[in-house]
Amino acid sequence: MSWTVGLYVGESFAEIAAKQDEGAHLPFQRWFLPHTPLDKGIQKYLTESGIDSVRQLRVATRLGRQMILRRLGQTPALLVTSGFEDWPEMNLPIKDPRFTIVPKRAAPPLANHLIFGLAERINAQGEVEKPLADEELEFLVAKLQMNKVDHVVLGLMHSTMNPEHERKAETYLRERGFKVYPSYAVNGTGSEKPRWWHATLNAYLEPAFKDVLKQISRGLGELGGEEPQVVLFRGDTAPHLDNWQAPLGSLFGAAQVFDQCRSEASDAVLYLGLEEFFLLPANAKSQVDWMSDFGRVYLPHPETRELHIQPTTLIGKSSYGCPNLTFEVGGFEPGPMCFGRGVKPLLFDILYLNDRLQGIEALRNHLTERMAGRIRETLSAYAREASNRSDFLSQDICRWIEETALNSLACEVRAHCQSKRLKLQGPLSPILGPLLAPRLPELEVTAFHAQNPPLAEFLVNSEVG
Amino acid sequence: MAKSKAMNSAFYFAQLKSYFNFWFEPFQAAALMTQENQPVHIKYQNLPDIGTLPGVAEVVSRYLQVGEGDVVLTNDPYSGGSTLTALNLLMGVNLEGKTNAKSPAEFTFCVRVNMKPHLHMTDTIEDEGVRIPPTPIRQGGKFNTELLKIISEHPHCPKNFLTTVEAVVAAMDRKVEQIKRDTQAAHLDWSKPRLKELFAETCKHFTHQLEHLASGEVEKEMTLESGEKLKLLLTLEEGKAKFDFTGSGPSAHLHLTYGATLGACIGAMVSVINTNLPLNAGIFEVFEVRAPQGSLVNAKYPAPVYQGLTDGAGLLANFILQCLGEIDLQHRFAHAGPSLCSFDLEFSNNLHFFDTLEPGMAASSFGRGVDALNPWQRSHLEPSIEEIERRYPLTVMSCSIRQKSGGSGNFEGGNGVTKAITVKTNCTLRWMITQASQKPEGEQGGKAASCAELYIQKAGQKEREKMPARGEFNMKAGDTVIMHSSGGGGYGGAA
Repeated sequence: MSWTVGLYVGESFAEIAAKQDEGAHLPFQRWFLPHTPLDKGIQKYLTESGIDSVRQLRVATRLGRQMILRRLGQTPALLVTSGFEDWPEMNLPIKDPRFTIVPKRAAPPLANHLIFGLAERINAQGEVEKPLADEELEFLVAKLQMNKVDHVVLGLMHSTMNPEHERKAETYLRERGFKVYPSYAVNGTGSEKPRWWHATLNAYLEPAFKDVLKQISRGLGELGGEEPQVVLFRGDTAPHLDNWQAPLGSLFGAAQVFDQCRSEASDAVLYLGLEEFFLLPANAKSQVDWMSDFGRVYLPHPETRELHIQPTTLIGKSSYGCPNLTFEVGGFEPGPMCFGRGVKPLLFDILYLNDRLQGIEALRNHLTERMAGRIRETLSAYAREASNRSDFLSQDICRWIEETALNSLACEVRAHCQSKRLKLQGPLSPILGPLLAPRLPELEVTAFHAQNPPLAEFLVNSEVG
Repeated sequence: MAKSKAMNSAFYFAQLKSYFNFWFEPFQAAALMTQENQPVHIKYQNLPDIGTLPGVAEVVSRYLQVGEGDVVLTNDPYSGGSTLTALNLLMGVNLEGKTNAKSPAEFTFCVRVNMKPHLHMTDTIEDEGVRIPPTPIRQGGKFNTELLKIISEHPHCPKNFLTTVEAVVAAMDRKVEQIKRDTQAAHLDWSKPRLKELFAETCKHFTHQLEHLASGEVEKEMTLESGEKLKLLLTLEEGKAKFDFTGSGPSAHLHLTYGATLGACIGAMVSVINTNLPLNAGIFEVFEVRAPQGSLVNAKYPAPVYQGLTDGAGLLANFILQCLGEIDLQHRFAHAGPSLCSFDLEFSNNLHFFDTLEPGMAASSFGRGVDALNPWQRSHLEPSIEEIERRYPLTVMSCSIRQKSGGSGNFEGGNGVTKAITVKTNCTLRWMITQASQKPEGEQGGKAASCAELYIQKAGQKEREKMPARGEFNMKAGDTVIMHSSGGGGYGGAA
């Protein structure tokens, strides 16, 4: 008997589910990756479920998003038309929305010393104005080798109009053992930077995804039958083996799954996961670019609103002298204080103190009761200034922050859902849904799916072309 | 869990700030003003926005009755607006459920949208573009389409004027609807006592932050390259910031309106305090700005304002930082080049390309200056070389950091930008550089930075010719314009 397996790899949690080709489903498992690595988790599930043959393993992941957000990828070299070596970094956005004497630009997934110019030029009509000479490439190879770079991105001007120079450089570099990411292949945009960032991020993520693929292979071990096909979900094209070579599209793999699974295009979908909240507006149009924190990236995907409030939004001290939600996402490394490792309170900790997380199976063994006191102390310390003039308790603080989070979520959903119907999905939706619904009286708020299955089950059941 | 109390004011005000971030998200610059012209929240892009958004709302409410849903349009700098390319749309809003169409709305929602500038070397504002005094464009739910059409037919009116106005008003309508729904769902309180409390609390926190700076008084003068004098008596005491520009003279090119000057004063102080507080009437209370009419910091009609409200506002904010450094020795700044080096290439068929170059930031006691960054502009364009080359008959030969243009020092000044453009057909080049002959000085032993410069290299020639600070030049196909923005001054004795 052969199985189709769905695997969702988050930053700290993974979910797995399986379906027999004849249609029988197995119950899913969700586990905490710092305690059980990916390969061991897969092995355990397959063994416990008695699965001995997997036809296809379907993977969606938010790994890429985390790696980009935390700048954990492998920096490639970027070759650009000479005269534009500074161009990718010159217009990086300023992080601070207000005036400051110490402004900081967003960090790019590139290093200055790994951006090199090539003396060549193709004009807007695709005509060669300055040919690319072999000597240019020879010299460059020496520089790349000196810098021990093996991933190279090509970003030459107007390469989508005429890819001649990029093709020449691509062949030359491939023959010398480099892994090359030409930007001419990204032909859906007429702007150089979104195209360069696209190619750059694929190169930036590829080594980590290769590693995930290895872990998955180890997890699958020696199964009977044919070797399983491990396909990666993307936001633009069908899931495929080759997607592992261009993993940037995986940023919207989960969004694509929900987009395909919604029965009515006029329904908006709010995903309330353990690691992320996002909204799929109704009648979503396909988006061409993704607005990263360092600029516009060409990345076709279903229209998705990445919400400002996230489960791991950091709580900081507001300018009014009280704790409040920041716009910074803490993530799970080190994670919420209630997991025993984090040192800064997150929205997750507020939900924990408000007794919202008890019913979630995957969290039960990780919540550390002894931390409750410390979270309360931290929040009270943040609130000291405001509490000087009023009388409130740490319970009030938690309530008010939760209220602010829910109001903010409702505000953003209202602004972008473009529908009268909102469907909720995700492990936190049974908890947050009833709290959100009264804040959105004009919407009909219901569950996306009565059983609220995990994302892994959607992967298993989705149509794969 | 025990029944929760009503949300404490500090938490409520912090939450309200988050709401404004969402509500104003689609707009570059926006403000919500009370009937008494107190800003409840301002989102700004540049220094003039801070002072002129409240200014324009005040002028409109003085002369027009704006009922709920009514919309007024103006771009007039002498009616409180900013440059002529910044359209201000003001909409009356009732947030407390009152619906009396005959009385003015409780709030004014003001949105500013910036259109592409067109440089004109002119002596009066009337030649800088089409000037629209406060004009009702929607009353009682009815759009005055005839009037909008007449404005759009003016030869200086931006091409996409009509569609822009319609799109912005539609976005404002959606946001007002959202504010009302959010108000209901989260029981937001827009009553006068609650707003008074918000302003008082903001003022208290801002004053407290201001008091971290040393107090004192300093009088400083600066002579512009064209010989005019900028004079400031800055007083920081008892949580107040007073700016007295008495003694400042008129200017040849740099004309700031009072609103822009107010914006530069507040913006400079906000940047130093690095406050996270929302910009509302509570912060405005702390400032007192005196600017003699007719001087460069309070221009009189019909002086043109483009250069003053762009480069001039930055120059003023940098000057304020210099003054502040003399009161508080912990906050010392080298000089920064104020000029955005605006330039404009006008081709045939009414095709014109406009661009600016960001200068390098000055170094300070806090560290090195950032390369290619105008700190007085929030939203930075993300232009595309390929798109520019497709739309205009030109080739961008290079666009890069102007190496070594920042002053050296223990902390180096930020480097400026170099851009070279070769035109493919004949066209007219116009440009404006402010303080082109004055190097941005270093501080505490830091060295001066390079000045902004513009060169023309004629087709087939190797030599390039340096051009004056502002002017107009007929370029021939194959000519190249090379522009360098200035660096920022260095800080501290170089090793």
